Amino acid sequence: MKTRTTTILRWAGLAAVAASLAFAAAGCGGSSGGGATTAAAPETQAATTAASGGETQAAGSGLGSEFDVAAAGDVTVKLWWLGDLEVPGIEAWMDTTIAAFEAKYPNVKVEATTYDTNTWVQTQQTACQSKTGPDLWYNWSGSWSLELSWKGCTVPNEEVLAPSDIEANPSTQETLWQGKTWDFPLYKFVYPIVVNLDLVQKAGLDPASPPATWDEWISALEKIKASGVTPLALGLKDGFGAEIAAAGQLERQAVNDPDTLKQLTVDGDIATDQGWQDWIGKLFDMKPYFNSDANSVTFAEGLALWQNGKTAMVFGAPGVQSVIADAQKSGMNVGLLTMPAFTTLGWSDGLANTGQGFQVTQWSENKEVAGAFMAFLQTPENLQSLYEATGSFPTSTAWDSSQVSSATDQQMLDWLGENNSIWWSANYTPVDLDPNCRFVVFQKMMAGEIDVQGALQTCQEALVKWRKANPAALENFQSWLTG
Amino acid sequence: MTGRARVAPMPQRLKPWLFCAPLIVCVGIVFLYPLVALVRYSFEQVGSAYIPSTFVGLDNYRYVYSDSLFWRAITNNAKLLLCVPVLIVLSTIIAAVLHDQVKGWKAYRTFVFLPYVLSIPVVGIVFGYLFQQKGLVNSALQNVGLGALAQDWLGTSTWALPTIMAVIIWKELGFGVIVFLARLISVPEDMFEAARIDGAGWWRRLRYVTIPQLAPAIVFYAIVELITMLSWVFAYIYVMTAGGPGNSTVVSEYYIYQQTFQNTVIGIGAAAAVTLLGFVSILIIVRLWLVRRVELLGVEG
Amino acid sequence: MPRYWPGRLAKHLLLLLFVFAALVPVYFMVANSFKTSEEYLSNPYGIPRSPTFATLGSAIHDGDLYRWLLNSFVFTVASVLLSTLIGAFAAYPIALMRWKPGPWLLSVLIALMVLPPIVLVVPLFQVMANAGQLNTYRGVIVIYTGLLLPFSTFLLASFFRTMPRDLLEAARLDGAGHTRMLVSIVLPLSLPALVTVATVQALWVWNEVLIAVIFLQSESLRTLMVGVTIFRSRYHLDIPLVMAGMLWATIPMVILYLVLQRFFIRGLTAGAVKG
Repeated sequence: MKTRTTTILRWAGLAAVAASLAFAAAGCGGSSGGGATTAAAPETQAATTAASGGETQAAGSGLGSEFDVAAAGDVTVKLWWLGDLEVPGIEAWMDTTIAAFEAKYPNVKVEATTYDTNTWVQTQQTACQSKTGPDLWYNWSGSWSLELSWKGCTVPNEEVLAPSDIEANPSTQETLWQGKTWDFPLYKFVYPIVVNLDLVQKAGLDPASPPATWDEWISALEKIKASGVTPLALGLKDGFGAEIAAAGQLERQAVNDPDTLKQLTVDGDIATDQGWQDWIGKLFDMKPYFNSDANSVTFAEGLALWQNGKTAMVFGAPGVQSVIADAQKSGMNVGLLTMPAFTTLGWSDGLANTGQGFQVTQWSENKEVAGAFMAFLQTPENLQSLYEATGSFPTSTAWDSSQVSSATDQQMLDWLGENNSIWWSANYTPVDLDPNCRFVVFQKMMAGEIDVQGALQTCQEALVKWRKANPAALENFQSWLTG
Repeated sequence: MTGRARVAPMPQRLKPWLFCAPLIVCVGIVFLYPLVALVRYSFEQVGSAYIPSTFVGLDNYRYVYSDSLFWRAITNNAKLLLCVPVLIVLSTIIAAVLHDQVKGWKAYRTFVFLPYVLSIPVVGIVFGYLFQQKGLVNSALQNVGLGALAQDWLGTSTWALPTIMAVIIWKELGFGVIVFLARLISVPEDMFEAARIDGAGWWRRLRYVTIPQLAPAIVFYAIVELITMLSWVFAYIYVMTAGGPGNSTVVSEYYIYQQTFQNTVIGIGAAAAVTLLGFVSILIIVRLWLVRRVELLGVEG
Repeated sequence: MPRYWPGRLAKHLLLLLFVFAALVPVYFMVANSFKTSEEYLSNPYGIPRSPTFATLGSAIHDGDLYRWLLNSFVFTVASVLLSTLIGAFAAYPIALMRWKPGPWLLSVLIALMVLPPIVLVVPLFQVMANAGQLNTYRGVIVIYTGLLLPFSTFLLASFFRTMPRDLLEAARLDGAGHTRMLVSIVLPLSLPALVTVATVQALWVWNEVLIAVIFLQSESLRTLMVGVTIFRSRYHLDIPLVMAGMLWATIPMVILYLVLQRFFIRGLTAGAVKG
């Protein structure tokens, strides 16, 4: 009886809370969430104000790898991330690395929780709306990270890491905004085209002289097709295969540097943009060479077509190194390509790559320890063991890449060495362009429901709609463009 | 019938409230603040815990109503409503057949309900395979010489939604069958027996005994399924097409999800949600009014 | 009983058709749970060429399956019991007492059913965070119960309404109070409805992912369905592992359904005896 009464009382308590919240919500239309730390400030500045206001130490001294963790007292650092879903094998590495960190600093406990990709954005958004969540979370680079920074929910690297830590990690430049960097990448995704060399050879092509121009590329595709093999695997059912193909190979060639894309976002016109006309035109030229069922297979199922020897090539995606390793293990002769340049812009030639890492959250009470942990993940030994465990390339220059043994890895590193700054073009346009432009264009192209002009029009309409719906984000893109 | 004029003593009059109190408290906790917040968001450009929201009047609603994607979503929901009559007819027939206690009916019943037990991700993955352009359905069609009927079921704008509808019917059917069966079971068996003795055939018994007896269950099931088609189909869409190809299978719930979480414009998502809620509230008020009319005619007890 | 055999045949054919359709995905799930991801690539539909328990095993070892199972049970049992009980008490005056606010309350409940949880998540999270109810069994049980109540009340009210009036009147005249009428007449007579409502709700709670992910942020509170979703990568195909996880997650519900079925049968025989 007693327990029942207390339970009922607790319920009543909840009801009271709900009711009072409802009143508060109805009463003051202005501030949301209650107790916002910054008063009404212009959108673009609020985040930095919120970030730098407060008790954090002056940037630069004793942070990150220089922070005295042992003196920080008993602390639990919570980490939310996607683990093996992004990079197979990384969870085991993280467990070992956390154990090493906890052994080094017995006063610290790190709790890593793995989330599901499908509910990840909801998880982050709800946390950001309520200042409740982990100290540290995983994030993709560019606008994915910055969207949350613009909402004031994460702090810049400069507040939690030593300048030397940031300097050693060039991929932080992908989130440079207002003179600070907002995501601390750990490893990079790289996007080569992965080739089944046996099938290519069977089609009468010489793996030693890969296509170097667009015309050679198309004629190679034609030869493969003539040999009875589907040249390229594509899986569009879950959409993002379009982003992989666009940002990894095609759309990027319309980009000179990130500003090209930010400018386009702020006031460009896709319908008349030369670069976009080029890449979408080229995409349509390639249509006959994709598997005809691209719309009804998921990205992973498209990849499986290639793994089964049913297509000659596939667009590499996150985790590509383990795909290569598995294929080699099953006896396949694997080679790599990047798409021949069809423009002369900055991102036309080379290997697309983007660093994925962590952000320290604004509500964290252990920002410095979280920063120190991020730095600890990037000691040379831990980076080497990361590479060994997952095959992914660490972003930090502290990693000694000369220890790479596989030929395909060496090939990718060579490409990266030549031009390391081909980032992910989809990170510099609104996320909304994925569902309403890239996905639509690819899927409708495969279904034969759209032409190049229609595709350009669709994307421009999506962009105009986004500007109308997101005045705040538009302002942020503007300020991102100017620095 | 209890005389309406009889004045109940005070505690008697409070009794309904007492019975409903736990419901009101619990529903209040879960829905009250979220509803108020939802309406408020729909008039705001929503910030975050750190960025204040700004009042934007009707801008969000204007945006939603001028967005062709929103109207496509609504149209798709309207098309999904076509599943409801199909579900009712099939559930009625199957429940009636099972109620006849054909040999092995218990086993049949178990299997017919099975789809409802499976989780939508499993269903989505499996049917995604079956309906691929090079999937089992098409190869089966080809094998029986009906290759001309083969389609890229989930890969073309024309067929994607009807295919999803078929899967939804497949999954929701089991629920209808057990609801109807539960109803038929509580109907005294002699009613059916009397009809049988009178020599009424199966279809006549269905028409004159089973269906009238099922009426309340049918109304219930119809309402639940109407609501399902309006706002509980997100998982099917998410797993089977993610709104594609080319946004052709976006439904209102998916639209709200896209705006709220992908596009992070919570206000616009909220405006769409409030619109949906308003639309349904109107339907419910109409229903309430109709029920009252019927009650006044003395049909409903 | 002399019955027309083509009619019986037609009935069997119809049922067999639905049984076949129902079994296809089950077959797919079970067959692939016994494959390795390598075998799956070359043999997605067929029966496993060399059946292995490794996939089912790693679905257990890769996560904390027993813990997840326990959590799922706690959430399912608690919220289904609560919402059925609370729903039954509320459905009684709505359906069987001449209570003016009844139809209005019912209409509000129906309207609330229209709100998909996805639109409630952000504000609900704020409520729970402010009340300190994140990462608690209690908080999520209250949410589930609240979300289920409109449905359970509506379903039970629909069934109560079909209750034979004369029976209730007789009890009334015998001087039974409302509580006694509900407990000793209405509820026992509605057993099939109660089982239906419990089954449907249990399935919903068991398969629910969104609320569970967002409101239960520690590994130790994970539910089974959330646990197995983290096998589902976007970038690499491991359908056997996903199917194995889903199989583990589905089995308890199949068992539950098989057990609950007995109550239907009991209800039926009771009816038959009466007739």
